[in-house]
Amino acid sequence: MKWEFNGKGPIAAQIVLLVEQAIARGELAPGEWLPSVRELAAEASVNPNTMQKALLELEQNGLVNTVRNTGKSVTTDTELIRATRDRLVEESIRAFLADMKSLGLDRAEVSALMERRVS
Amino acid sequence: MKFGKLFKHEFKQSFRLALPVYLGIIIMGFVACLSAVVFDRTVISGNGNEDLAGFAGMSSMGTLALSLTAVGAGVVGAWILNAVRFLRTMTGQQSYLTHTLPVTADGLLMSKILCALLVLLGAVIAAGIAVFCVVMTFLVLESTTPIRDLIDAVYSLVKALTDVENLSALSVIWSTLGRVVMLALGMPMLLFTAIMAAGSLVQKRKGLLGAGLFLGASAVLNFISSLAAGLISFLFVNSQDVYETMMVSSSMVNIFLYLIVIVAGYFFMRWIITKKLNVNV
Amino acid sequence: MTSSVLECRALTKYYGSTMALDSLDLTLEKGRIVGLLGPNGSGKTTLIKIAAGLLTPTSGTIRICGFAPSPESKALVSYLPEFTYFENHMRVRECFELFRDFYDDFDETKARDMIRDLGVSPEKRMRELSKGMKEKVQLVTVMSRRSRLFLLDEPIAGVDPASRDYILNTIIRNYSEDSTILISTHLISDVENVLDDYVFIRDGKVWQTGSVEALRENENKSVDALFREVFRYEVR
Repeated sequence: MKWEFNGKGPIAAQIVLLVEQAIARGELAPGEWLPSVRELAAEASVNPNTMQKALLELEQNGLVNTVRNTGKSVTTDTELIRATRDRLVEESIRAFLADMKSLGLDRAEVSALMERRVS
Repeated sequence: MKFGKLFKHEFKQSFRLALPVYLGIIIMGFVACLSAVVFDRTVISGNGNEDLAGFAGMSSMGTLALSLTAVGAGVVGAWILNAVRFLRTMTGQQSYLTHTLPVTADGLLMSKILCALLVLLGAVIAAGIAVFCVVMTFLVLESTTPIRDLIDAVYSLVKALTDVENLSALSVIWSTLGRVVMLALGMPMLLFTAIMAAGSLVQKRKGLLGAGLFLGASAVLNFISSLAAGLISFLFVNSQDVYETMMVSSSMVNIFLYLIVIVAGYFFMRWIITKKLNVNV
Repeated sequence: MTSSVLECRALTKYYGSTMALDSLDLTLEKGRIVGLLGPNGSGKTTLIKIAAGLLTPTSGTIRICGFAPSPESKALVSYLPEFTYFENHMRVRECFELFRDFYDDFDETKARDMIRDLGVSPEKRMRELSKGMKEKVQLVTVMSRRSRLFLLDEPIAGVDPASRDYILNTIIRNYSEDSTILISTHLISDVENVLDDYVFIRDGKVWQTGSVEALRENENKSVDALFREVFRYEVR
């Protein structure tokens, strides 16, 4: 997976988003073992404490599990993964609609556009 | 505290450079021996052929002189080696490593001084071997009993140095020898002190001034004590006994002053390292 | 017994009549990667050199894990200058031997592994390596110690992007909760993702300190952006 960060929001939040996207896309398979915190931090070129914070949040959300003395792995809960994907799709759509609105399009115009595009 | 390791590393790095110098000295000695042979056969013994003798004689004499000079230069070279190494490791780019090592200033200084003295000793020994070879060459060529002659020469030298009958002459010889040894031992110290003063004080100009003052002061002290003794004895002293007393006592004063200067230099360097260090390359 | 890895109080340094550090106060705790950020001539290198024991302060105090600069403090500090300080004729393994002899916390196995990853033979002499490779070898040697304080002076200045990634990678991999890494640089956007905290230094004084994540959370700003704001009128 590609680690790309922008200069604005906190890095930990960006990491969480990137990992969620990777899991939703299937780039990170359910049950797949993750490298150590330090390895991941080195891969992403980020501070280890920040990576730790992000992984903690992912654990709290249930997307990542820690097996004591072994390491971290992606959840096998396919329900949760689907729910995560759905959430990401929702957020994407919301952002898209907000964009369109700022460009001056109303609901009907957006609908028509989508019809033409999708068919 | 880590002195052994300091010494080991200093030794390795110093002798890495010193050994080629020693080799050079020995080779020069060898060259000197060869030209001594040519010199002897052409000039001293004479071989009839005037022109050949003239040319060969001149060139061998030149080579002999040059190679012996090179031997002397080798000893000076070892000395310069010490100074350059000290300069680089204490005030140059490598000082960034030297001064971040977890060692005391005493450890640093003592290991470097000790190694410098050993390097010098090695050079003197090598030069001694070279000169000895040349002397032996001449003896072998000129005398029918070279070994005998050598033993006789050594014997008379030792006798002169230990003849208890002529105590006053003995004391003059030994005190002068002592002064020479002190000079040889003290010079690296003086040089190191000057280098530290120049390299580490806040402003280079002040440092150089300090170094110059230090060297100048010690040179002047030495000069005065030597000259004074000689001058006084020359102008005012007629008796042999008083002359000898003057020479011995001036040597003693010399040695004593030198000791003070060396010790002061050591503490000065130590002070710079612990209180006034400014590594800025 | 103090938990602060580095503590500076009213630290002042004059070079003749030029003031490099102006009564500087700074405290660093353990387990943090800290960026010492400031324009050229702000006193970054001077501060680092004093902590490393290469310069003696004019006044004020500095303590490393409770020790004043001394052989004891030097045993706990790992210093990486901007240039290589190993002699050109030295072989890589001789550099390791040197570190092994003088530093009890040197991990030679780790150093050899990292050298192998770089594709450099321990038998190579420093002069046989390119400038970039020499710097990496020195970085590896310095970072292979389990020191309490790492002082890296401009580790990525004048370095190509691939090497820069390697250097940051090495720094991250060698992070430990027991040690603190202080990185001085003026290339802020390149390192800020790696930092826990930032310290802005200006005209020999600490201007501002803070946590990188907190800045991004609370003010939605990168350290680079904040730096440009703070030092906007810096004309040099």
